[in-house]
Order: sequence, then structure tokens, then C-alpha cells
Amino acid sequence: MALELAYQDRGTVIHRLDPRVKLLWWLSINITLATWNDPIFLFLLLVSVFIYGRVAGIPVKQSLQNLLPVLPFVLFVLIANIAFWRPPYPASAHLIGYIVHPGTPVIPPIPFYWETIVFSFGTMLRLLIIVSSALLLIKTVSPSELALAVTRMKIPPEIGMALSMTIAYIPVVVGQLISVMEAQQSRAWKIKTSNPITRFRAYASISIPTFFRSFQAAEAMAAAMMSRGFGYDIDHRTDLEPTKFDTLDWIMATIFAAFMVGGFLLGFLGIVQYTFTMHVLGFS
Amino acid sequence: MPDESKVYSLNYDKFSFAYGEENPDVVENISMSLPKGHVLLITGPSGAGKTTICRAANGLIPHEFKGKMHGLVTIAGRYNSRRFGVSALSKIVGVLQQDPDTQLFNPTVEEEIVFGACNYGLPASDIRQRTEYLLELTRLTVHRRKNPHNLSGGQQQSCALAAVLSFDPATLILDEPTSNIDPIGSREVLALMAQLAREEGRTTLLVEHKLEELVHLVDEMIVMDKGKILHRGTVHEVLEHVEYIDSVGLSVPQVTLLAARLRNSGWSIDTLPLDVDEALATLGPLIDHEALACLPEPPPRRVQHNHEEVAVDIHQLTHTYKDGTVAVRDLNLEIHRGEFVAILGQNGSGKTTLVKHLNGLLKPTSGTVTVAGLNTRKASINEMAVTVGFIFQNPDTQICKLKVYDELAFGLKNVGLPNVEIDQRVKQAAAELEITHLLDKNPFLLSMGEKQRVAVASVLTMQPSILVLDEPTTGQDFKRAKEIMDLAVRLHEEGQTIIVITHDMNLAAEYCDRMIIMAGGHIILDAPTREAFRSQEALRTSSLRPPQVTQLGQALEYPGAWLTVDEAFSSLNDARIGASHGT
Repeated sequence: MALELAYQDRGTVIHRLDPRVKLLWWLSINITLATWNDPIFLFLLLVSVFIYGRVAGIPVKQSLQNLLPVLPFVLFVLIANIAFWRPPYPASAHLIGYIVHPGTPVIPPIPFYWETIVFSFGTMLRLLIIVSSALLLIKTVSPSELALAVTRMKIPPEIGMALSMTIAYIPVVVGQLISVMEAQQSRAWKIKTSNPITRFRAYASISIPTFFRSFQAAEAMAAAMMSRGFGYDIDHRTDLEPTKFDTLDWIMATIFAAFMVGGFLLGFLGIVQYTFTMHVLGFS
Repeated sequence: MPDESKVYSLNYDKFSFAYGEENPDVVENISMSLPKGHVLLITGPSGAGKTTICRAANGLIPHEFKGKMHGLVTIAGRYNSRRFGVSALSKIVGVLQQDPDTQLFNPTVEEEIVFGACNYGLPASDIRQRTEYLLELTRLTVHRRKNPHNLSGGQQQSCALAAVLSFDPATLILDEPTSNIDPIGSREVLALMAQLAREEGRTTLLVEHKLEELVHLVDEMIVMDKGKILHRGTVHEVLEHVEYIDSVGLSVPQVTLLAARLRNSGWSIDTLPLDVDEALATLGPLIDHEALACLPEPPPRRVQHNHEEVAVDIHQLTHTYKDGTVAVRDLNLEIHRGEFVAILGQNGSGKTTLVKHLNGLLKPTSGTVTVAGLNTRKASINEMAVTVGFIFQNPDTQICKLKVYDELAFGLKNVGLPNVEIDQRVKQAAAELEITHLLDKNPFLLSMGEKQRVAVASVLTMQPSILVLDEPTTGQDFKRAKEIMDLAVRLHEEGQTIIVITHDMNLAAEYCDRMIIMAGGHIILDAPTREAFRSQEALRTSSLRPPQVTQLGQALEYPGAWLTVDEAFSSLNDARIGASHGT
């Protein structure tokens, strides 16, 4: 499990791309989705992320399995959106019912529209895309490659180091999380409870030791990186295989950049909004 | 121009350090020098200040670990550690830490090795040439494209060492490089270190507990405790104080300790032996071999419960992990109530997978595991937790409360016991572990030894009938491991079944009555401890070595098997030339 979340050179065309192109792919996805909220388009975007992963040699089944741990959070966001988000121009024809009915003492009525459901699903898909694209970036860009790519972009080496460490660190944290869960389970720890407070407290028993151990490991890892000369003279670092931005890199970078600009504009101009799905569903 | 021969690779001059401005010094007034090509071993119990010495060598102290530093650390005769940063000093002083996990952050072995050399801007052709040499030296050539985290513990540490050597630092600092790895891995890493020191004349400062493996590899040895140097000199000179060193809780060569005790009881021994061959040469002429051959086996060391009741019944167990690795295959095992069992084997032998089935952390892929009458496939988490207590090697893995009392009550609350009973059990376990005075303290602020006791107490509150100890010596000093094992002995006397997972043969010999040796997911030997040590072939297959005193007994043609220094001492005194040999 821990190593599933680590970079592994699978020798695919994606792995051979310059790390800056992969960063651009990640940016294009995330900038685009920031301006989109239509679930149909977002679903297609999520599919494109899985296809990108498949080309990188990562089975769709594995990509889906990696989303399982975040599902409770995603469902929480879905429910929160359904409870609190209301369309700016509600049409009474789209009213499904009321979460809190009119006339309830003290509490104002909370109407519940079709738009709410459509928008909330869009938000849920956004979260899934953010997580999926981040995981794919981690799996396809080696930590040291990323650090170098960042420093070549004239960003301070400390930021490169922090980014690189974050990625290198994920399998370590996951490994620690597993051992903490086993230790707590040995003392009858379980989270199979519907009470949210009990559930939160149950997670605290896992997160506190994991955080504590992760902090220790981060300190040791930073010391190890510095003890091996990271940041010594970044401008004169030896590049054993100087990365050349070759034709494929240019082509892919152009496609991703075009997608980023196009996607942003489509969202910015209000085309890829939840209203699109509403039309598809037959609501005018 | 300074005289090269008088320039020290590393020099500590009245070095003291405290983490944080308010805390007491963890090392005090340390002065020592490493001439070029010198191999220095520093040993000492936890809290001795060994890691602080290592951190000061390449500037991690004072630059990264902040605190109050006094004195001077000078590298290569001219670089003051206060004035140069970590990455600059590390070019001259390479540091290898104890945990391979946190030192490996590149996707392949090859990238891991070249990382440092590239950072220092060495010529590409030199880096390629050196990488090939280091891959060859560490026997990692076939693994060059693998993720370092997929290697065995020994290979991981060898990879981390190669990564440090890639930029060819003149001085090497190795901070407990074998504490987290199995005996084969330890031997690999220490042999590599010895080769580098001898063939390349590299100055080396080594912090280690495993003295038995090192006595012939080092030029000088220092014993530290509580931030101060207790003894320093050649290994022979320092080990003249072997009994004292043993008493402060350090692991010392068994034959040296044995000879020292014999000498104190009147034997004529001039120089203490450091290994089995030297012990044979020293003690052989002083022993009546015929009398030794007639001596009976030492008696059982503790209560033998001999219960008929089966506590653990494993039938045709196979466990296959998600990635297809078959960790345990068709394994059958019975453990009776009240047994004290060691499960031994190298990393990857399947021992951890096996014991994780005992409390239901893992479910069998096929076969059945029955523990105290409960089928682990069907039993609930609560049922398993109150039946099998699992003591993990690192207490930080489980501590999650801000009060020791709450930590001890954690499992009891999870199983839903009433508050009155929780209170009673917590106080009882705290008294047992002598931590009653800590009940209101924050466990995160305790010392490592205290945390370990809290972790053990929190398991004991569940009053399990079976106790599993996971690698009590890994990452621990000898004293702390011994404390946990002594507690296990007390619990065993009360009738508890004890199962210890370990690759420490001395520990298994000293405490356990039965040894189960695993290799490749199978049990290759299951026998009473003394008998197991006579099974040379099984030990060879699993690359495990009997304790030094057992080896000495075999070399002296003693027909039984000594398991501890005490047993050897008693037998040898009976077989001494001139002793009256009563039976």
C-alpha cells in the first residue's frame, strides 16, 4: 500500500516526459477545474485523468482503489453542499422539497432544489479530480526530478527540497499510518460507529501518533538530504542525463497549455457551469 | 601549511550541547580526536549522547538542531562547524543514520547513490565510474533499477551507505547503522564498513551496540553514559572493565564477560579474550576436558508450566499479500498455555506475518488460526484484543493520549468496561510497571524508557492470556530490551503464554524455552532451545549464529548447550583443572 503511492519508473511515455510538462498537466487540470462546476464536464475531466494514469501504466482499478480512503471526506462535502448550497436564482419548478419546512418555529425554511444536487455532485467530482491528479503526479514524477525541475524554473531550492520531500515522504507516512492502525487495533480500536463525535475521537487515536512519528521522520529525512549536499551549489549541480525539452515534450506542453487556457476560458465565460447539466436533464 | 600527519580528521574540543536553551546538557565537555584512517567505536546506553556527537560532526548541530553549544568541533583541521553549513561540511564528513527508511528518498537505487555526488557537482564521468564501483561493492548491481524501499533491511542500509560514499567523504560517521536490521544485514553493513576502513583508509566514527561483531574492526573504543566519557582506549583496554560495562546495561561479548568472571573467581587469565577462538585458546588449557564432557545439562531456568491446553493452534496457514507475495505457506503450529517461545528468522522469513494472525491483524488466505479457542477469522476486534496482547517495538506507534492514565485506559474503554474496573486495572498495571507516579503526566514528554513502560502497561491492562513481543531488541539498547524481557519472565511465572519475535540469538537463548526458526515462510526448526542450538544445519540455513557461550561450549566439546554466561561460568568452574569434580 505504502509503495503504491510512491513514484515508480514504469518506463511509459508519461514517465519519459520532462517533469515540467507533467507539472503543466497537473496545473492544467487543477486550474481548469477551479472554473468549472458542471458535473458532466467534470466527470469527463476525471475520466481524462484516469486515461492519463492508464497511459502511465497505472490500472484504473488501482486509481479507483486509491480514492477509497478519501471517500468519507468526499461524502461529507457532498452532504454539506446539499445542506447549505442554494442556487442564486432558484426556480420554484426545480424545487424538490424542503430540508426545513416553512413554518418551523425559529428556524427559517431551507428549500432543496435540483440545482443543489447537480452542483453538489460537481463539487464532489472536483475533489476526486484534485486527489486523483495529485496522486498521479506523485506516481509519475520522481522526487529528485521534481526538485530539479522546480529549481530550473528559478524557484528557490528550498521550495524544491520541500516539494521533493513531501512526495518522497508519502510512502513513509502511509507505512507509519498502517503500523499505528495495527497498534491501536491491537487495543480494540475501531471506527465502525455512526456517532460523528466518537468517530472523530477514534481518528484522533490514529492521527496523533502518526503525526508525532511523521514529524520525527521528516526531521531525519531533512537531515539526510542536507547531509548529502542538497542545496550545496544548485547552479553547478551535475546533471547526469541533461533533460532536453524534446519534440514530444513541446507537443504535450502545447496541448496541456492550450487545454489550460481553453478550459479556463470556458469556465470563466460561464459555459461549463452546472446549468449545462440542468439543460441536459430537461430543466430550462 | 600544517603537518598532514598531525591534522585530525575530526576534533572535538570541550564540546557540550543542550537541545533548547533551558534543557540540561546531553553531552558535557567532550574532547576527542580522530586521526586520519582511524576507526573509533562509541558505545553507550540510550541517552548517553552518542547521536549528538554524530550530529555535531557535519554541522547538523548547531545549524539544524538548535540549542546551547559550547566548545569547538573542527573538521579536517581547519573547518569550524559553527562557520560552515551542513551541506558544505558533509562533503568531507559523510553521515549515515540508523533508520534506512528516512534516508532513502529517490525512486531507484542508482538515483539514490548518485544524488549526493550530483549535488556536489562532481564530473559526470567520475560519478558514473564511482556508482558502478559502489554498486559492485555493496552487491546492489542487480537491484540498481529497484525502488530502495523494496530492498531488504541490510540492502537498504548498504544503499544508504553507498549514497554517502558516492561523493567520497574523507570521514564517515555511522550512527547505529545496524540497529534496525537483521543479523545478515548487520554483518553485510559492518563488513562493508571494515572493508572501507582497511582498503581505503577512511576515517570512521562508528556508534554501535553490537560489540561482538566489532571488536577486531576498530582501533579505539569509547564508552559513554549520560553525556560523559566513561572509558576510552583500545578494545582490550576498555573491555578490561567488561563487568562494569555490562552492569550499565550494554551488550558485551559474552566470552569476554565470562573470562572476566572466571578471572575474578581465581582463574589465571592475563588477557581477556574478545571472541570464541581467543576464548578457546585462553580457557582450553585451564579446563579438565574429561570432567567437562561428563557434566550434566544445566537445569531448567524457570517454572515449566507443562499445560496440556493448546493456546495457539495454527493449521495449514497460508497468507498471500495483495501483491501476490506468499509470506507464509501451509504452516502448522501448536503453542501450549504457559510456554515461553521465540520465533526467529531473518527479515522476510514470515515471522511477523505469522504473529499478526494471532490477534487478527491479518486473516488467513487459507487455513485456520485458533487462539485460546477463538477462530481469528470470526472473532471480533474486542475478543482478540483481550486475548492477545501485542507489544510493538516502538512505543511512539501507539501513544495517542495526553495523560498516561488515559493511555492506559484506552483499550479498556474501547472494549466498554465500566469506569470502576478501568480505574482498578489502570492502577494495577501502573503499579506493576512502576509508573504510578507518571499517571498524570503527558506521555509524549516522557523518556523513551518510560514511554516503553507506558506502552507495555497499556497492553497489560487488557489482561491478555497471550503476550506477543515484537522485536524487543530492534532499535532499542540492550538495557531496555532486558527490562521488557524481565517483565515477560514475571508474567510467565504467573502462567501467561509469551511469544517473542526476534532475530537476537542471545536474547532467545537467555529467555525462551522453545525456539521456532522460520525461513521462506516455513518453519525449518521447532525445538527446545538447547536442542535447537545443536541443530547446526537449520541454524546455517537461516544464517543465525548461536550465542558465543554456546559456540564456546561446542568448541570445548561440552556435550550440552550453554545458553547464558551464568551457565557457562558454573560449568567451567566445575570442570576447572584442580577442581573437585563431584556430580
